Amino acid sequence: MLSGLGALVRKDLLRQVRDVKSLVIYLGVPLLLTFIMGISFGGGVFGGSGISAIPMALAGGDLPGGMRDQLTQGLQETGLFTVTWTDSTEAARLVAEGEVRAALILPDELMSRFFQGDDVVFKLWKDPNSQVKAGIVEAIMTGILGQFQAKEAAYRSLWPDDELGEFGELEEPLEEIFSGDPVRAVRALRTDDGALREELLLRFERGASFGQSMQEPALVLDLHDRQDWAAEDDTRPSRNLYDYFLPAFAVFFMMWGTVAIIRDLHRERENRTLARILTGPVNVATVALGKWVTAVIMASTQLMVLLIAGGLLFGVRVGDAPVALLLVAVATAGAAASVYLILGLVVSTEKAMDALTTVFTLVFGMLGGNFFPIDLMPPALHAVGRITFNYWGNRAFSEIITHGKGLFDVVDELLVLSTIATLGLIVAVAIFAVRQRRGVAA
Amino acid sequence: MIEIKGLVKKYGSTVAVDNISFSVERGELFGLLGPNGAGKTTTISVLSTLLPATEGAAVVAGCDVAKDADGVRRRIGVVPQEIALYEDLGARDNLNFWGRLYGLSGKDLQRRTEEMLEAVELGEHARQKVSSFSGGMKRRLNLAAGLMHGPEVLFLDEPTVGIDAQARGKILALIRRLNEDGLTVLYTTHYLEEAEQLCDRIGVIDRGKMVALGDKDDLIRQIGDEDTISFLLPPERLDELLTLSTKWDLVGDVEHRRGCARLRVRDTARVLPEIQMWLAGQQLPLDHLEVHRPNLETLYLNLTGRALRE
Ligand SMILES: Nc1ncnc2c1ncn2[C@@H]1O[C@H](COP(=O)(O)OP(=O)(O)OP(=O)(O)O)[C@@H](O)[C@H]1O
Ligand SMILES: [Mg+2]
Repeated sequence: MLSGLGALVRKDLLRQVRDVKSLVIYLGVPLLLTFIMGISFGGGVFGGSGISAIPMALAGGDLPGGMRDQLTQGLQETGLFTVTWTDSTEAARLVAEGEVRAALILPDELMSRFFQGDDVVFKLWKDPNSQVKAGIVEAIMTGILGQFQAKEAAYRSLWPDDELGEFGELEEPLEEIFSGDPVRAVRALRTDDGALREELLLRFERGASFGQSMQEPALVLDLHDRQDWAAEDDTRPSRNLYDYFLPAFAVFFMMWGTVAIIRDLHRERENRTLARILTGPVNVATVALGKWVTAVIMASTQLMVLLIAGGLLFGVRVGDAPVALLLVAVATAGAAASVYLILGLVVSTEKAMDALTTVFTLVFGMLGGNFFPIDLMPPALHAVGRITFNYWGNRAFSEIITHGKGLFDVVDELLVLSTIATLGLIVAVAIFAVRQRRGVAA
Repeated sequence: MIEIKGLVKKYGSTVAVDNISFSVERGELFGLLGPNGAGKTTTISVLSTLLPATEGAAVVAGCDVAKDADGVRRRIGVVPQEIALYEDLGARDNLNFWGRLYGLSGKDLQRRTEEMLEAVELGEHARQKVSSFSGGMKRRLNLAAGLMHGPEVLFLDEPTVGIDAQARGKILALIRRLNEDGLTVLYTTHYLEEAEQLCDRIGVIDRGKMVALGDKDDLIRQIGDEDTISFLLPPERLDELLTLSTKWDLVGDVEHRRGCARLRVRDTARVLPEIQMWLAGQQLPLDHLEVHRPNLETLYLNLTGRALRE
């Protein structure tokens, strides 16, 4: 059985590699499309700042000029946004007319409200016609605010009884002391009142540690290094559309590639080699397994080549968890091979298989999130997407590539994919065996 | 070596093989002769475990085809009627694959492949893609592929179909040689000459039924060793011929069909000149005067009332 399996796989691989035309279709065309996509969306060597920047407006707030500049600069340096400061009326118009994808409205008296511990409400207006880009803005802003709130919470939990409002006796408002000229703040310490000075020193110290905590990326929006930043927060979608499209398209190409390999079973039936094989010392299980192994080897190679090409040329992060990436590639290819093996075996001709698999691949590609992120679909369809094997492959790839996760974070996806692969293979062999019993296997 | 009892194979309502029984001894070269659609391929498919029989039983090389398909598969070689090869691979790659499938590897595989390439005279084309082969070359490689693993029983399904006389001669010679080395062969064909030349025993199959079975020479003797003489004769002269023929010791009656008289005679050397003289004397045409020696064609015609190649 094992030597038979080896012979079958070796023969198939030899034929695939010898067949220049199919190699071109298998690797050349996907690579070309990857390249075009990379130039359009990607970063890295060819892509510059990556995806064309999302226009957004900022309005309101009473940020000191320095912070305002920092915020603008930080947002623009992500490469994702072009920022326009305006007032809230104008911002509303810009969003309504589609000139910006989103507007962030800062509350009035932002700083003093913040230092007094009042609620600070940011408003984000999204362009309803631009789900993806507005969604990216929303997710990023949510992330920034989340960090902000976390740090504030950390501070408050350290000093639960700290009420900044108490300092009425100070000559200047507290925020002036701590956000303004440091020399002035130090001068305020030269008071004769020893108790007050001690109190002030303590405040100063706490203020310094608070200030320090605000120096963290959330406030500064120090986002030059996109990759570190993305790794910190996994709730937001890809900041680079190519991060999403590369694995999604690689999986989609892989599905077609798998069809091409499994389809060979029908060619072998038509040229009678399958019948001849079945008169030899191999059973249908070995033949099915042989095609499966060939498909998995070819398809996972194809996936890895496309991902690595994307990584090398366009700076997609594929190298962080190579083992996880390879395992996901093999598991996804395995699930695909099993599913298409079933589809190939329930029909009797190559033509019928082509028709069936074409419809299937397009529908599954759509539902599973290979054309656009599945989160953009209505919740009902979202649930349907989970029955597709490619959904799980996409999800695992996106965890690794977009969110920088490792092997242990994709165990769920790997389990689902291997289950589909195993059960699918068993079903395929069963169908094949029934065909043989009826005399229509070959 | 091969034993078939009451084999029936139906495709839906089509009865392709209808209650066939025969056996082939070890070392025998058995010919299964029949026209298109007779059921030859179907019989081989059942024997090679590709198709389940509808009824009946078959044992090949000691293994029951229904109960021990694996045992059968290990012991047989099959050369299908179609060229069942990978056209996108070279001759050597093809043979290597079929050898590996049966567990050959390394030096053994290499040696066997070269041996078979030599045997079918394709050594010079070993690297060439099969798609660029001529029909005869493909046929030879198709045969070699079925021999790679050294089977005990070889099923050959019309292995010479569609190739010229020279290529056919080579294939037949190889088969004869293999048989002399002890290989049991079941050979199907619709070429009479092949069966006559090659086989020890012959089964004639027609529309799924075995219409004759036995030793080749016995079968021919069955029809008798009389020759058949036929010539054109207008119907109104038949009476004269009948009177004349009483002294010729005929086998059976004189037949007259479509303006043609046929008579079966024991002593052709004596009768033929007399007929010629009579025809000449009567100013009747001499062309179309023919003498048939009995052969499988005659047998087939007698059995089915049809010519083998129609
Ligand atoms: N898969 C099939 N489905 C239905 N009928 C079939 C099938 N295969 C063969 N037949 C029918 O069974 C009969 C016997 O076919 P078979 O191929 O065994 O004949 P054969 O003797 O090999 O003919 P040939 O010399 O043309 O190869 C034919 O009437 C054929 O039409
Ligand atoms: Mg046939």
